[in-house]
Amino acid sequence: MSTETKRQAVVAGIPRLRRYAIALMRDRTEADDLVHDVVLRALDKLHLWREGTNMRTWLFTIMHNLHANEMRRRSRMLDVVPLDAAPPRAEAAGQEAAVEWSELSGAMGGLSALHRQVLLLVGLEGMTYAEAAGVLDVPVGTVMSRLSRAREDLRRKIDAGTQTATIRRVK
Amino acid sequence: MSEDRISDSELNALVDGELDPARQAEIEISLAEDPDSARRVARYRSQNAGLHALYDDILHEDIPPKIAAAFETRRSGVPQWAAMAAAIALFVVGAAGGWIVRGEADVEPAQQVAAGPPIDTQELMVRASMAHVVSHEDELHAVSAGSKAEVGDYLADRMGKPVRVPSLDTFGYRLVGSRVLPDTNGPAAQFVFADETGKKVSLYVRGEQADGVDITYALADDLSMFYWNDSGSSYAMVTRVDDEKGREALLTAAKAVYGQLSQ
Repeated sequence: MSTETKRQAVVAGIPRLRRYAIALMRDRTEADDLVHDVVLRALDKLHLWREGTNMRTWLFTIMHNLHANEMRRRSRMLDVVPLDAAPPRAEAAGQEAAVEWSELSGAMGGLSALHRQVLLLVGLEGMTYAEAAGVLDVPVGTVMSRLSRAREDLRRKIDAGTQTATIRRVK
Repeated sequence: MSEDRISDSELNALVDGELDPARQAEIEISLAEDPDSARRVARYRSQNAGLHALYDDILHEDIPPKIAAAFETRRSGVPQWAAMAAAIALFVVGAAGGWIVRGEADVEPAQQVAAGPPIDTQELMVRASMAHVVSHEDELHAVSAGSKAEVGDYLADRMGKPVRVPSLDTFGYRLVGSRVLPDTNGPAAQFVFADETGKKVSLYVRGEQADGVDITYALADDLSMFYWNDSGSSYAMVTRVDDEKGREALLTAAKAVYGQLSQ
């Protein structure tokens, strides 16, 4: 496979990297900065990518490592890492759906980064447990237990959010 | 119903399609008698659907310029600037042949009179090609619609002398921006042009007292350039050229710019 073909494969991976990064970091500017760094790293290491292996999981692995480094760096600099800045805009497509999605978006922001990662990799990216485990560099069992806890936590947060929304509306 | 209640991990695995078909069928049957688990499966599935609803639009967005720029800065071979500078390949095309038609008597033949050292071609080429490669629009002073004069003022302000702004409109290249860059001889100017497909041509101008050099072709890695020196400035027009035709086009454009700037 020529270098140019590999570069094309990196280009093709960008939309998914961005979707994941934006959902994970909840800040478009930071997410695009991260994707930019991932692309640079990937282009520098293109010769290390083995043909026949999955380009997407390779890119996601690079992203996970860069993101983890960045989080470590920040936690040294700051006491508190702001988890939830402005939630991403919920596309208006029916009022009810929009309310539901903004509940989901808010609840996602309340999850721990570890839970959000695994939920996004499996639930949004559609990765297999094995792929997600590879990206996160943890055993498959860890992916499964985190996923299970993440989904329950998300469910509770959405329910709590819906309740307060209902109470507000009743008042 | 609860003697073999479905485990959490199996509920999740069902949602994620991670069960083998036989086990999946069994679980789907037992879900009929376990409404609590069935509700959870439905909830998890709707969480996934909600994530797609929230974030899938991003897949259809254009790649932001900042990210696209990463491909420019990592064009093959670009990082090895030192190696490139050392191994730069020079192909002199008719430097002595003199295709340059310096008009008639109204053009002052300054370059033949001025005595000075030969130009530092390596310095010019490395700086011009580096500037070309990392000339993303974000880093440039943008050109507001058709305002060449404004660009001239902007550069003149920063370079401390009048700057003539060339035009490649007739070649289908629009001036998209300019900037001033530090150089060993004082500030240098760069003009960046792009055609409608986004293909870039840039012109690098640095002050350099020299004998005057006719338009000369140089090839550095996968960048082609034509450079010359005239009236105290060295110029390099740079683009990525794939074939002979592209090189001819670049030469024609370089001649035009030479003509415009030496008038």
